[in-house]
Amino acid sequence: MAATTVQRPRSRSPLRKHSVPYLHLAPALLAVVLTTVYPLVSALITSFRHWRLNETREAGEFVGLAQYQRVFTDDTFFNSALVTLNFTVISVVLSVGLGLCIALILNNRTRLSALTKALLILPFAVAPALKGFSWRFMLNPDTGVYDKMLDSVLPFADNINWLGDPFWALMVLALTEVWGWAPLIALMLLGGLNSISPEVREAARIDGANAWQQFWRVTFPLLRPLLLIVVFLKAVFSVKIFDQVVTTTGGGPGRATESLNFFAYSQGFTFLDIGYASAVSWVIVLVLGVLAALYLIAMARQEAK
Amino acid sequence: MRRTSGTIGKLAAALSAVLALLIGGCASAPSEQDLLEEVATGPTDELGLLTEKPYDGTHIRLLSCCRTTAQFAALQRKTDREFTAKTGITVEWANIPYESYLQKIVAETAIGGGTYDLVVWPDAYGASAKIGLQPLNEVMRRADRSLEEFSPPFQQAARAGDPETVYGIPFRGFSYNLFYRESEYERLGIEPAKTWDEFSAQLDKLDGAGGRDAFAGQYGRNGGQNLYTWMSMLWSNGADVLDDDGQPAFTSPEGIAATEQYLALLRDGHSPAASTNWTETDSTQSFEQGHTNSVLTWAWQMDDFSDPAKVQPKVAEDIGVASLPGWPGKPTVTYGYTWLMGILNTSDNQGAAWEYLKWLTHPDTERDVALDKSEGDTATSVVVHRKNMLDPEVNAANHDLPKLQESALRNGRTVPMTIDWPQIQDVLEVAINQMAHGADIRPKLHEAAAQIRTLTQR
Repeated sequence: MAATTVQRPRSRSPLRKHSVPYLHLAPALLAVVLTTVYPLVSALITSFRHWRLNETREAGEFVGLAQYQRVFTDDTFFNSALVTLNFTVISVVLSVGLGLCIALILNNRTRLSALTKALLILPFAVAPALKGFSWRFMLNPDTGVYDKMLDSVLPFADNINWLGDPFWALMVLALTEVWGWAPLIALMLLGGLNSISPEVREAARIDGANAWQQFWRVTFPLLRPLLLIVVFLKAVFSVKIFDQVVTTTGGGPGRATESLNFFAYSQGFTFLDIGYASAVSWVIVLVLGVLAALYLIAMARQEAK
Repeated sequence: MRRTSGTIGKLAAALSAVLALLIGGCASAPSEQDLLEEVATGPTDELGLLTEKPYDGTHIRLLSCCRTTAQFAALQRKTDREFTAKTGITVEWANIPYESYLQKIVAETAIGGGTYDLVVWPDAYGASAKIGLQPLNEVMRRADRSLEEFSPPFQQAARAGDPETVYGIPFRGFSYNLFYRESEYERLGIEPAKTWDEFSAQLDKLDGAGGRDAFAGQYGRNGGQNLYTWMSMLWSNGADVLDDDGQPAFTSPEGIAATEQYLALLRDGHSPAASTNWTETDSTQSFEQGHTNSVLTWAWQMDDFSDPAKVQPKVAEDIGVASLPGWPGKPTVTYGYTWLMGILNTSDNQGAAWEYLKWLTHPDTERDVALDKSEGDTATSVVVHRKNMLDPEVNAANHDLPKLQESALRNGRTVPMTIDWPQIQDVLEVAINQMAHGADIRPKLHEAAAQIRTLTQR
């Protein structure tokens, strides 16, 4: 038997073999580095330096943690943090609550369901800045159409200056957000409701559960993982609120609607204090980081189930 | 294998290219030019333009906003028609929306990219913008131009806080004025008030007259707009925003009295409740739509108020204008608002830029624009040269408003020229807004003063 020589393919070096996937990922990673990591690192470095744009073109001396100390002794920062917290709680509760109600109603299929679902996405598609201008115009106590409608239905609302009263201004801001988000959340929750087997609810009904018990003991527990994700997602977007503050209230009355992002923007682009604005921005990044981490944990737990 | 190597090579090349571009972009820091070296000399025409066209073929860019503003539109059209024909220089006006314009000024003056050659800015930003601007003293002297052509507040704004240096030349400016429905004043037999007490008494009569509110105030937060009337009242009563050391001075008895008088216009029910949140646009629109009998605002608004295409025709035919009221026995001081134009020190075309700046701010160019009423969208009453403000022909074409302004601006002032002004303005406008919503005046003013002291000590 003649000996045959089998030419085995030369194996790639392990380093080269492992590096190929990363090289293919490199363009995307580079984009992330340039647009996210670089600005974050740059802002972090700037947050330790004194830099006012109307004093010098280049960042000034290192000041250690002074800008962060200033953040935590600045009453206007704490006011913004409180405004953002209030806004987040109100807008998350109302958006998710209303979204859930809409989803439950639309879950009963009718001939108009498909059309209604399509229409639901429209408010979310409106640009936040446009949303703000529109609401501001419609709530004008002299000429606003919403103001006139509310005055005719609710007599006590006749003397309310919607954007001039600190409480109502924040509520209006939250409502503009709810108007955009509740329908989107409804669509997300509808997907969740559709994934629940009808047999489960049918079994509960046969066992004698009324409508509320069916919802509370069957539907809600099954929907809870998705609801958790929706809540975190909405909370992250609420903490970021900016456009509508600028276009609806301008942060007023007084400082009643100054959100954290509006505060950071003012420090950087109105007061030109880039060092301080960077420190404020990093505090916001940390807050958002915590929320994002909670969101990812919730996602991971859901996937594990 | 070869294919893998090829892919790696291409990727490496692409990464290198991106990094090179990034490093190159970061490394191209702006460099400052010497304006005097860039400016050519030679024979000039009656507008000061070099007749030998040394910059023929040069293209310059002007950082500006508000293209539809009548004066801006008129100057742009005249540029193409006249300036380019005479000099061979083409000019591009960048039209940045006003809402994002101030940030753009800062980016261009403070960081500088060399994209623009000229920039226009409103007075309050002068102290912050001057870091990126060329001093103009010497080129102005050579061209026989002087800030003496302008009223005191415009001169103050041009110097941006440096008494010895000129950073920009005023090309748009106005006093604060009282606009009113002439027919209501005639019907009630009243003349424009000379004092604030008299004005308040007149508002009692004007309340509800013609089915309108007496007065359209602006107490909302928006770029310091609720300070315009307040500062004029403060100054007219002998008080000040800041003292010579840059410390708060508005808590003096005169300052508190002026603030009380300002808030009384709202608290006494003369201005609609909604005006606690109104900006300048909200209040002037209320007047334009015939909801209010009077408004305090800038003189340029006359261009809109008298244009039946922009306001209700009944309003356009019924506009009266007068200087602001004052305090008995004291000179009335108005806020003189100014837009200035200057040359960016990162520009590569500073000679051509100066040529354009000379022409655009020349009194004769301004006069031509103010007299041209051939097209509605470019008809403007705005003039900033005292010579033109007193010109009978210019006055005849513009409701006699220019001479009213000239008189008002003799005692006019501009905002404090300090780099802390944006923060100070923010503290003050929030305080005014909170007082409009009911906060006690005296403690709120003292609180604002304490905040300003803290921020100026940083």
